[in-house]
Amino acid sequence: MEFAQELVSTAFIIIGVVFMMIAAIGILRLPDFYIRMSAITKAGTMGVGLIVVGIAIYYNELLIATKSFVIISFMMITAPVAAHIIARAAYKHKIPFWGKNLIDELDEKIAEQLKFEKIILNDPENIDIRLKVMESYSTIPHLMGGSLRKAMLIASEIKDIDIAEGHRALGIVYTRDKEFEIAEQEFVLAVEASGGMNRYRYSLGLFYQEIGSYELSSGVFEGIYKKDKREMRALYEIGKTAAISGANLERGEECLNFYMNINPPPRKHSLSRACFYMGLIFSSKKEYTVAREYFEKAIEYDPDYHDARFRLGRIKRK
Amino acid sequence: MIETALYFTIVMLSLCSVFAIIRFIKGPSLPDRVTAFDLLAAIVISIIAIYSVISDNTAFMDVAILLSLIAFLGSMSFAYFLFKSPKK
Repeated sequence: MEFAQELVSTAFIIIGVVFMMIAAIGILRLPDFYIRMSAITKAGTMGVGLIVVGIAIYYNELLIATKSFVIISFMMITAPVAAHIIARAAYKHKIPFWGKNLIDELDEKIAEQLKFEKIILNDPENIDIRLKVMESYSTIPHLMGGSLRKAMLIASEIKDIDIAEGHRALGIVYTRDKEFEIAEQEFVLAVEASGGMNRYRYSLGLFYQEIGSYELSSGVFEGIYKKDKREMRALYEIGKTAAISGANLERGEECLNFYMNINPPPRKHSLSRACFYMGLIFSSKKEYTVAREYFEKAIEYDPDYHDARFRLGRIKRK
Repeated sequence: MIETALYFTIVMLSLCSVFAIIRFIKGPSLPDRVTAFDLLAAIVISIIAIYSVISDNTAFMDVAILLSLIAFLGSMSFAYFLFKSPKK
């Protein structure tokens, strides 16, 4: 018995050492820093883990097993964190890739931004491009030169060209910055400055939807619909708000039903979304068979709709 | 027989540490050296753990725990240093 135990533990230790060997050969032979790093963090952690498990089996004591567990959990927690941070620092310092990799998304994004900035220099009145630059400043990580302050600066430049659009842009940036009260003010100002144009009302409503003030959000959309009965998108958004919040379900169902039966019918993409939110409404009402039909319809309209598939799977399990 | 196998694993791990040290010397950049150092620490942890079996002294396991923490702190502080140092 004891012999078998020793044999198993030695086997574990030897497999662990093989993994360490792979890591060491990897760090010596692989072509660039990022690949080497992935080799040692994965194989190295696996190697140490197996060796320590082997030792726990060898001693067959609770104390040693606990210590082994502690070592393994430290390695598993700290190795990915350290690797991630060092890789980010390395990217920041432009440690070169080995030249055969195909995609560098961050680089593409930064290049796109530089291109847009050049266009702005030539065409200072172009608001769309400015909006795009602002967007990329607020989505690129701070480390790579993204900055909310710059995004705000661009937004205030837009305000000089078009007051309402500028307020909307500021609202978007403040939302990113989690300054919801100021963002709300900006969106309201945008609506006022444009004299109540629908574009800005929608962005106000969508903003309320995003931060979870569903009552205000559906209020805004109801307002849009009341003013102009042809605004079908408002109906869709009312239904969506109801579906997400789980309140005011009757009204949401009514609106979405109306939206799905309008003439000419909406695009397939919007139809599939509408069906999905109908499904959500019915699952909040606990009428799972109807909800299931709607989710299936949503997938029929848009086969790539992952959320609908996920929900459908959950309902099927019930 | 098991004793022999364990000595053999220590020899293998020493070879691994030689590889890591070669990378540590070659560089060519600081992050390369930091990761080589990381691997070196993992190898030393393994050697200590195996040595605790050979010498039949469980106190070495505590050393291994301590070292795994210190290695993390080391690579962390190097990464922090890299962050703070100015861009090329």
